[in-house]
Amino acid sequence: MPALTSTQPRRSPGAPALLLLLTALTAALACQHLGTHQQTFPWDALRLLHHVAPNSTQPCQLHNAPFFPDTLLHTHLNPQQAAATALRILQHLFHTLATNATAQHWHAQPRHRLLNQLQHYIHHLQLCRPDSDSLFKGPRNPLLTINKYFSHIHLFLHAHNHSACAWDHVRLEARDCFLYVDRLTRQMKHRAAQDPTISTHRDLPASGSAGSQRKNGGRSSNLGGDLSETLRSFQPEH
Amino acid sequence: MGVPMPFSQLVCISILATAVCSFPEGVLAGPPYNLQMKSNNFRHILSWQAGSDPAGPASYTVLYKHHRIPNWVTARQCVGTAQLSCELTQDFQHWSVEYYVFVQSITGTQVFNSGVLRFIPLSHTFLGPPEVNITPCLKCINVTIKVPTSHFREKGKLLSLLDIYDHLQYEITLKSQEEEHKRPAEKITAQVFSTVIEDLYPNRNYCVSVEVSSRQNKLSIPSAWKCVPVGTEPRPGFHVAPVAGAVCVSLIIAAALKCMHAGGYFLQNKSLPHALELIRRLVYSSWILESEETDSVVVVHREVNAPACGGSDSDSDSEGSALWDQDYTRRVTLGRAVPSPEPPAQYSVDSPGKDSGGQAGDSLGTPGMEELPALGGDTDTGGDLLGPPSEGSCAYPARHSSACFTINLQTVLLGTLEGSRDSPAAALPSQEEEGHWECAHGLEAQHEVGTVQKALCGGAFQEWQSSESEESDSAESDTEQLSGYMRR
Repeated sequence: MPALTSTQPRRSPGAPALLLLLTALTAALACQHLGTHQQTFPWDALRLLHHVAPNSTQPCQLHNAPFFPDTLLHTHLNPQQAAATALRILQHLFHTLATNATAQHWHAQPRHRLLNQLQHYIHHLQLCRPDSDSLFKGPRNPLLTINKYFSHIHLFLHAHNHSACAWDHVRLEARDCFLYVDRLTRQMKHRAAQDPTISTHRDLPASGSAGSQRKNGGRSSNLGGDLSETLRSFQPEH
Repeated sequence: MGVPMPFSQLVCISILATAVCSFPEGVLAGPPYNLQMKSNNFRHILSWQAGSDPAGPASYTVLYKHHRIPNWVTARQCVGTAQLSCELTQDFQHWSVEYYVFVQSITGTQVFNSGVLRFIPLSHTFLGPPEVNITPCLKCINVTIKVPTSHFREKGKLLSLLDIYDHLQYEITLKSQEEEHKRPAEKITAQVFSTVIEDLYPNRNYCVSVEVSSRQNKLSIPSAWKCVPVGTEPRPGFHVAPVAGAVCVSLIIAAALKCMHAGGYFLQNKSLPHALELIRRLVYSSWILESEETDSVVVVHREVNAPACGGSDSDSDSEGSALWDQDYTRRVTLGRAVPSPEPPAQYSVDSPGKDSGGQAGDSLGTPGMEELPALGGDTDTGGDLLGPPSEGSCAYPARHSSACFTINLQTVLLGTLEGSRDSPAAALPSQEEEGHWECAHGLEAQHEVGTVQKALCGGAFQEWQSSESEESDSAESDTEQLSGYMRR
């Protein structure tokens, strides 16, 4: 027995560290490359979401409609958490919009292009996604919030028989999702350029303020701030 | 067919007719249509067209909402307006939201709702045009760009496009004479900034147009073309450099030409060296052209007696034989007819002392020339003389005449045409040619060759007097010598 250990081949002491370093480097490079793609993705998707709607769309209001959760706007996330959250949202969106029901109500070409872009961006996010299970700890897990939100959407669609009015509402919710994802990816890029170890309490304010954004090196979440204001505006504005 | 219409039907028809006639155009009023949102830098103006003309004035109200607002909201400035447009700048306070807008018209008791317009301020407003100022520089253009201010207010403060858009960029379109080029887009980092377009052709007119856009919004209004000539901006002492350069180049060229001239590459001084000049004078002393001066001489055919060179008497010559005359004339004429750079051999009968060596007066006459032109006469005759030998001519060795005597006339060849027996054009003497005005061998000893030679030459030709007894052979050899001597 004691002789067995002597016959085993010796491992290089630096191999695990080197492997970990290579993994982190690959992830970092993938996430760096993601910044380039991020520049156009959300806005191309938003433009396509505008075009998928039929011309005869009339605004309608249905009861118990789901809305984007405001709590996410107030949750401060580090770059890794932001990446994981963005990936989760996009995966749910793809799963929701790729159904046959949208094919019945939306224009085919912009819908097809939207799904392609969505899948492409998901692939890039998966390359730099760390293990999400160890990222979020505590009661306010954004991934759980996102899961709950999309469950509500599916129930809403089912309750209204996937009507045109219900899908139009989901379309507008998808817009808010893309705006939030844009904010998250901006945080990933911005934070990665600075110091990943910066605590989240210095995250950008949820409510949009042009001055505060400029202090942080340019506007980075005006849209996010605008989104939060929008999401909070349940009352008509005068 | 013949049943009369019921009274009730008549009443209905009359009522309908009255209702139709109550509308002048005969068409029912309709809802507003053709809604258009004209948005520029977040200033939103909705316009529409009224439905078919209503009977009375119509009032319009604009309503909007987004999906998070349960009820429609009326626009602040467009409630019960009679105009066909409405500004919604202050109403759209969320630039990323998709708004629904429609117009409601009220005519009397009739209410009509138009179709719904969907509008996203961030994506559908047109950006620009920016304020552009250009100034020319040397081979470049300096472009100053000011980003337009938006009409979006946040807490009462106007925001710039830089505050709204995440990535604002500008593109410059450069237009020259025939081509138009759009430069790569660059990020905007300040409200007012400048850039320089370099590597332009000088003295050419360029036009510039700038447009501002974003990855979130590609709709833009380019600025108006602004043109400026490049490279015409004067610099201090701008003209000094080219003038100085031109002067230097001129001096260099002049120096080079001077050196080439000094080196004899062109404009060579054709004057002979002193030694050659002296020789030329000595050789041609008796052969110098008398500048066309000729004396009129009456040529009389007689036996040749007197020598022809130097101091030859005009009298004797005048009494010379026809032979003499013939040759004489020939030579004179030849001298004229031959445009030779060398002083043509010309014999002047009456030129006793014009040359130091005496002239090689050719007193040799040639027989048979009965018809001789007077001296100073004809080039034509000379031409004729230069032509085929006339009969009886003793100038041609082929002809032998008793009246001829041997004279070494190679010197004649120089100025005349030796080979020109056949044509006048053979004017340039060919010193190697044997042809010479040699009288035939038939010329007997009335004149010794040597005497003749003596008579002919003058001092410079003393070496001719090599063979007194020689006839044509010696003459030929002398001719060769002379040819070699005279050859330059």
